[in-house]
Amino acid sequence: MTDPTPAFALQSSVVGDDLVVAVSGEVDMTTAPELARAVETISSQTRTVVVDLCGATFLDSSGLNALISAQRALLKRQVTLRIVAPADGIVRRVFEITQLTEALSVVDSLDDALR
Amino acid sequence: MGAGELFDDYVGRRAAGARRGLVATVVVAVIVVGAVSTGLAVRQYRQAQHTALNDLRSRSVVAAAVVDAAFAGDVSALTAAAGSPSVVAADVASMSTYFHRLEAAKGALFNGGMGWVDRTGEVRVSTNRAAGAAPLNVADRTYFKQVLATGKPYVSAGLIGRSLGQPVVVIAVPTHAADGRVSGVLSASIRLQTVNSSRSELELGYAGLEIVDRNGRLILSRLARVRNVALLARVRREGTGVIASTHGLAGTGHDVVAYATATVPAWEIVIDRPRSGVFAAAWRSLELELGLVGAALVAVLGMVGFVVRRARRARGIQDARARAWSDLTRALAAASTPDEVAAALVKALSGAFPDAAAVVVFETVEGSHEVRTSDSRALRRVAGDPDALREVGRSAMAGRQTIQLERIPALAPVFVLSGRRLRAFHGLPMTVHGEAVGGLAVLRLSELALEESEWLLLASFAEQGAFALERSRQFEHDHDLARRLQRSLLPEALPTVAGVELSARYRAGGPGLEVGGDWYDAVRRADGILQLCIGDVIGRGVGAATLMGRHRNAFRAYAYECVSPAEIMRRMLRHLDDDELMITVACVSFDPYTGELAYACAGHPPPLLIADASRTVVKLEHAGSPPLGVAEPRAIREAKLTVGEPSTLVLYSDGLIERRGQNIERGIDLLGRVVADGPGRSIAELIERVTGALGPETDDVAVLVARLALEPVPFEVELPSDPSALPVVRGRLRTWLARRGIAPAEAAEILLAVGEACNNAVEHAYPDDLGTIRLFVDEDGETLRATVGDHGSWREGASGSERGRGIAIMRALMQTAQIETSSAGTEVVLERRLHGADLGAPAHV
Repeated sequence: MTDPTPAFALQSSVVGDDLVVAVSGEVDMTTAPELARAVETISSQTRTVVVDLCGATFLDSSGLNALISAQRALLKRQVTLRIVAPADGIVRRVFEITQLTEALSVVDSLDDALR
Repeated sequence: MGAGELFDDYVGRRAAGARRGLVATVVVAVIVVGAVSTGLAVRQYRQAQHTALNDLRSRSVVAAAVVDAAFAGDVSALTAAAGSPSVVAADVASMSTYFHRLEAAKGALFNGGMGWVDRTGEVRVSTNRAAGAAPLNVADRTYFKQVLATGKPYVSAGLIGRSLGQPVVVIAVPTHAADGRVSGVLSASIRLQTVNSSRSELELGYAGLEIVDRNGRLILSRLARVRNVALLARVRREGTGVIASTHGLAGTGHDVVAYATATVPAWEIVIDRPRSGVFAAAWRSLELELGLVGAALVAVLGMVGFVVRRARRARGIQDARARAWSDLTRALAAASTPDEVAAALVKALSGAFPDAAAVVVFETVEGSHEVRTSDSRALRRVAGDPDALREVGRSAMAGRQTIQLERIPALAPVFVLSGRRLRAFHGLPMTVHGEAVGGLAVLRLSELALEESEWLLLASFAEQGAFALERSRQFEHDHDLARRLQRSLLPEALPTVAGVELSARYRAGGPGLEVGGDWYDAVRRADGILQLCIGDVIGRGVGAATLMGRHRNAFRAYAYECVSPAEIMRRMLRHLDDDELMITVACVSFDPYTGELAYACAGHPPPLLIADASRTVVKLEHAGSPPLGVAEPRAIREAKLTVGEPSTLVLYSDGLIERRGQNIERGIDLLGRVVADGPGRSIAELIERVTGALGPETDDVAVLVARLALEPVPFEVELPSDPSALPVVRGRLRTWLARRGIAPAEAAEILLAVGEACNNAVEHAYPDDLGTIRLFVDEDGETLRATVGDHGSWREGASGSERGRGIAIMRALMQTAQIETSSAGTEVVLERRLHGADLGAPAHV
């Protein structure tokens, strides 16, 4: 409203064998399922899915839950999930609070994720 | 035959010309009669004069005859004495004795004495002379000469007696000696003084009697000489006669002179009187007659004048009635309430019957009876007795009738209270479809019956009055209904909204105006957003009021449903039928937590937003569209702005600022200035000032004022347990936090924690249907406290760990994160110390 939050949006791109899903806006109960679907929509070549949360302004437990269930699904297909969340951001803080930084392979930048 | 034609007939102007002719005829007749009467009177006067003249003439003749007779007697007496022996004998001594004796017997006749003169003129014997007196000779006297010359008796003219030295008349006869020869003259004299002294006796009603002797001397006036020689000449010439108009014997005056000749003494007997005396009686009778004629003429003329005046007054009354009639039709056309109709009728009756008191009774909308009266003096005390007046009204409604007030016990008080002046009642009912809806009455001082033409006039008044009364009753009924409808449709109370002070006024246009379709409404949504609306159904009466009610209800419904003013309006369009009236609407939403204001305006004058401190006036005119009923849904636009400082928001209907013949912008600018100049003014004062500057309103006025204080208020919303509601609330809360000066990073954590609490409620409280979540956030600069409550029962979700993460997040970000569950529902209470205060160790799950 007065401090307009950007609308939730996803942009998927393929970088080599990796699928990068760039998220902007807020991830909450209403948008998390869409994120989960995007993450799970992979081709047979995909080895890694990177969820880039640099553009995300909000992520709550709904988002976490979506990412966790997506990770499980990906694991069954030997696909790795990595998450980009800038340090000091509120999104990164959510992972830290819930001690999921390591479990969900949260890194600081997209470069780190694709290395 | 219409009432108007009846009335024209009634006026009957044709008669006026004929009346004027009649009056002229009468005046001419009066003049003729007056002239003839005057002529007759004058003629009579002349006859009376003539009679008076004749009378005077007769008197002079009679007087002459009397004088003649008297002198004839004297002459006879003297002649007899001359025949006595002593005289015949010329015996002086015995003659003297004889004369004395005679004188003693006839002293009255010969009071001047007697004497005998011999042929030489020597007075030989005289009763006046003492014996031995000096000899006296009268040979030079005319009487002596005449008697000697003629040998006949002679009466002298007036002369001064030589022995007496006084005026006398001498009667002389010849004396004869025994031989028949004339021996001398026997004379006797009559003293004129004596005559003079007893003149009144002599006159015997012969006022103005004069006797003129041969010498033109006045015997009765000491032998004064007649001055008017011409008159005397004429008298001598004519002998007998009367002169109606001449100078008198004295040569002066305006006299009547009658005259006759006494032949014996050769005297002229003259009656010389002033005309005024002679004709006094005739003149008096002329005066009397002329007076009578004059009085009669005055009486006739007075009667004519009276008739003319009455005719004029009648014409004046007819004119007054014609005026009263035309005034009445005009006034009735303009009258919109029964009261106004009654007032018009009273005025018309007073005009048409100026000498009467007018009473009008009418049935009100409520069915009671009201009485109106003229302001006549006679009625003043009657007006203080409602029972008496009611009785008059009842009598008027009862039927056409004339009543002697005194004789009916129920009406007698009217007679008494009027000071026993109002005697007669003439009244008749005003009927509509055979039913009396009122009545007219004139109360008159006179007991005279009304003329048929007057009844006709009253009847036509009543006819017109009845129609007007019925129309105004219907009108007032509708008006009242519409007004009540409208009132009932306006909000009874405005919502209480923290940080916003609301006030509103609806003012109906003047009495007699149909109600308009103005309305306003204010809704506080569960999410704390204030929805304001003002609208005007273009049209009047019950229809407009009904339509306005429908749209107000639609607004209320959609205001709860939607936040967006434009969206509310679009949905309101659904409630318009094709043939319906146009509606102008302005909708404004205001979020007291964010200061955000959104508005849309459909054909309505723009709401004004006036900053209290800077006094800047912003017209909310960037989201205009045509009125509802004309606008397509997509034409309805919305504009937003953020209110950054305490301001006043004014929504109003055009009745406040629009005046016939004036630019509407002027009114809008004026309203802005009035608000800017006195931000604290009450809405009533605001309306007064605007109407004071623009002139009184002619239309309904609706005004809704919201004072946006922008004070810090708690964030307090209810939201549906619908996930889609969450982002919006988060966004608003984010703004609220920012406005509270909480840094974005800290705000993000708070949002996250509150969001988790909300998530829990959404996910777990109402698994089967939508419920309500209450969110309350407040801070005091040090501590922020948030509660999220629901009325549901937190059933175990599918994943305990999922739920656990949310709780973990809350606990990590807040010093306190308590979840209290009861049968009434669950409440999550979060607390956080603000501004970098030590968070302590994150709580563990």
